[in-house]
Amino acid sequence: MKINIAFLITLTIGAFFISGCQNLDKLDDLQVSGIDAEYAIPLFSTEFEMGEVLNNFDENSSVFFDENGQVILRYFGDFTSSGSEDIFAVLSFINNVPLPLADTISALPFAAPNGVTLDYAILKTGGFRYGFTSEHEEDVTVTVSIPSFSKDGEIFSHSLNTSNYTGTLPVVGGLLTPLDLSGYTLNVEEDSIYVEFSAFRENSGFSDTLAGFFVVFNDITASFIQGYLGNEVFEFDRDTIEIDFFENWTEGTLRFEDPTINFFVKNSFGFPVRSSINVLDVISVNDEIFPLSSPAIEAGVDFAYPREDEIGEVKETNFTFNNENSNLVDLLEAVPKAVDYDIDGLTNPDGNTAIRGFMTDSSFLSVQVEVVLPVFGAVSNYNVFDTIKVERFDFDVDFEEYGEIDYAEFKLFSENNIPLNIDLQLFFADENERIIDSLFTEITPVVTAASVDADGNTIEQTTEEAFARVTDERFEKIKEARNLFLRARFSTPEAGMRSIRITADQNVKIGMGLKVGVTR
Amino acid sequence: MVNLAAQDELSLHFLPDNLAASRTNPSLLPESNLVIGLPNVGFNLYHSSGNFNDIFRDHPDGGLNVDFGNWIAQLSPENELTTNLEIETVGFFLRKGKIGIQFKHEVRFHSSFFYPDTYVKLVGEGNAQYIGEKVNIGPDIQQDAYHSIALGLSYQVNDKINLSVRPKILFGIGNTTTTKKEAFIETSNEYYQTTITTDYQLNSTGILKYDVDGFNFDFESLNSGFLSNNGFALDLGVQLQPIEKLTINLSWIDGLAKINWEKNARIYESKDTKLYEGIKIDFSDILQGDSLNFSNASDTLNFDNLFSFSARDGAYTSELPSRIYLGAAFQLTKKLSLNGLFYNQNFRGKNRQAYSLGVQAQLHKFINLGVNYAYRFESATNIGLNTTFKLGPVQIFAATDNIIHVFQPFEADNVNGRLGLNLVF
Repeated sequence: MKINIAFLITLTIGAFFISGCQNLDKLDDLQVSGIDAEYAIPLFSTEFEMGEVLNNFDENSSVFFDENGQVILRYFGDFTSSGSEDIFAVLSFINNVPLPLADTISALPFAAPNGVTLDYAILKTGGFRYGFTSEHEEDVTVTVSIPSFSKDGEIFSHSLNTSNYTGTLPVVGGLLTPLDLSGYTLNVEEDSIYVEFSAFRENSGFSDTLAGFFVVFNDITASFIQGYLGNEVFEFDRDTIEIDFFENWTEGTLRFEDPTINFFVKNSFGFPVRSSINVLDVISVNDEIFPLSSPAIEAGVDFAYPREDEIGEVKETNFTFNNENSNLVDLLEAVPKAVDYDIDGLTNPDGNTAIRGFMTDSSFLSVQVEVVLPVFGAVSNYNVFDTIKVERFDFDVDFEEYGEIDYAEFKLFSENNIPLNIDLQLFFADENERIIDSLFTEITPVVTAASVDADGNTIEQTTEEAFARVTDERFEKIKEARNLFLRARFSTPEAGMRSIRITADQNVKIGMGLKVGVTR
Repeated sequence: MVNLAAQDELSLHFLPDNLAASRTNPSLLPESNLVIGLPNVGFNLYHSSGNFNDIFRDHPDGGLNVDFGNWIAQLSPENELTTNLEIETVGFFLRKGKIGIQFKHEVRFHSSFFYPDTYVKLVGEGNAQYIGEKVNIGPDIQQDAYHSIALGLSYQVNDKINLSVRPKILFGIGNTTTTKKEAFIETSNEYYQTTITTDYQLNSTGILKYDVDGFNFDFESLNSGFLSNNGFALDLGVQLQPIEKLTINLSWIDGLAKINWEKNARIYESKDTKLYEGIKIDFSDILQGDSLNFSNASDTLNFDNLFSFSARDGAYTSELPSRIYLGAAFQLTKKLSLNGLFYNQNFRGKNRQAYSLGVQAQLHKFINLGVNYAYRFESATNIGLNTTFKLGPVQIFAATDNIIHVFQPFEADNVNGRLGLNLVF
């Protein structure tokens, strides 16, 4: 160490007081020799917790922590929803089609497509027109009623006085401006819409028929329908959930003990819907595709739905694929980069027409898929990074005033509460990124995994030391380095066979020191 | 055991009929009734761990090398470097009947530097040898410069007993005293992080100056004169002659000696703990491209960082070593005597002894020569010599406790001597 030599030596001058001696004159020009020293200095230290590292490392906010601090990787698919438009289309078949009435009381057939049989519908919009021709040589008053439409207990009815007999036959009349049917309830009993009309002969004073009569419905939409609403397919968009956490993976094995793929379904349709999973694949970092297999995929999952007394309510169905009902654990050992899925919903999958369901104009069926990977598992020889490059690296440590360096020895020290072994290699490179030297001859264990219990929880801290000795020539070259490359490899205890849990509060402290042998 | 070497001057004690001998016992008085002491100079140097040539070697380019290897080879766990310089400017002795009066003035400079071997080994061998240990490198310093004006009174009780008392007033010129001396360096076994803990206090008046560049000597400030920084000391002596040929001397020199430092008195204190861990790295920053610069890593070794002194004005008191001489002389013949001496020095509660045995011979009426063998500084190889030449009233004397070392000072780890003149009437 550099002592304040002047202080010490000046005292020595005062101590060795004999005047006139030539040697004392030389004390003005003191130098040092006989140094054969070994100095030890700290170079750096770093300390981090897993929670802090993962939060900084994760760009897409996919890292979460449960109530126990355990790290969880969570990825969400796009939220997708399907409304009632498809089913409400069953009413459209009667729109804008002139329906002739053969008699004063007619049953217009109401046969909805796709096997739908309505009990009733509450119209949201709709218009009604009618037209007729009269062969009566007098004015007639035409009254139309539709027993199938009622509102507030009143059957739909409309009267029209023609009063326009001019001696020419036939007399053509009708209602050209649509009557508003909104709010009316359409009862479709026996699959028919009953329409009645009467023509009262004003001069004759009695009701009679008309030569021709037709009705037209337009823009019929419903806010509510009930019946057997047939088999439909709610198609959702195919989606891919990106798992970016392993995008830098280069080699190694990986095993998650408790992964899940969760389906969150919300359903406000009042009839049975069953899942139809067309695609559910795990895509590996090597672009290999692994289909998930599960009895639930083949059989389908029935979604909960509101009953007759639960109109307007939303029922939730959560379904999980895990290691007990699927081969998910095995698939993820391939190191996932994405989960690809395509799911549809089948309405009334069993075709049970006795189930009289309902839907409203706000009914919906939504699905969201989530991939959850609790960091509980095992890794072996897991290279997260290919290399980390540290630019602006300056290792020009100045020991000149202490003497000539004979050797240098680096020491890496770690105190580890994370149940991961870390192997490390450092490459020193010049300003052109050309490798000058490496710290170790090969990637070397520098951090030993903390001890864990049977559940994979850390129970005891470990310490580890690693040394790397370099000659003076190598040390001088290393001092010229301007870039540093790091390679890190992780594994869980017992050569990657022991599963461990990663929690946010697990930490590691790593320090590096340097010993130099100096002579002068 | 730490030895604090004041000027022991064993050979000087044996000088017969010489005012200078009264330095060791105020009852050791010349036979003449009037003696004027002219200037005499005494010096002492002691280094417990090697001599000058052991530590300093000639450099091929002309200058000197501090040879740490050789120095370290001679270190003990605790080491001492002590110098004394005493210049007696004037003195006199006057006897009237049974009463004697003596006066003298001298300027004294004393320096002791106690240092642990770690202080040198850290430079010469590095701190790696102390990994995992906590070592103290704090030196202990005592430096004093002062005037001493003594006025003594002796009384010959009868022909067998002489009693003397000699109070001294001290006027401090400069002082440096260590009152706390902890400077611990601990290099951890983990990754060599270094903890420096200091609880170190230096009191100084007029010798050290402290500024942003650290400590430096400030000898120009040694001009306090006689008006400030006063102190007191007391010499007591008795000489007994139980039988005709035997005399026994007992004295206490510089008893109760202390100086109160007030003018220009400063207290420098370093009480701090510093931890050098190297660069603290945020791993996330490194991954995001932050720089990593180790070029200043060797600053850990810079002793300029060891202390963090604060300075304040503060008066204090320093104690000086006291000495006891217990001697005996047996007159073998009229011209030959056998002498023995036990010496003890006490300072800061610690004692150091020396023993001497010699013969004194009046070779001629002009020349007296004494040779003694002493055990001092834990060494049994001290051959002391004293001599007196008297020509008319002029008395020239010289004494040393190691005659060989006087002529080979750079080969000696302890050197002392005194040379002076008296006028004897």
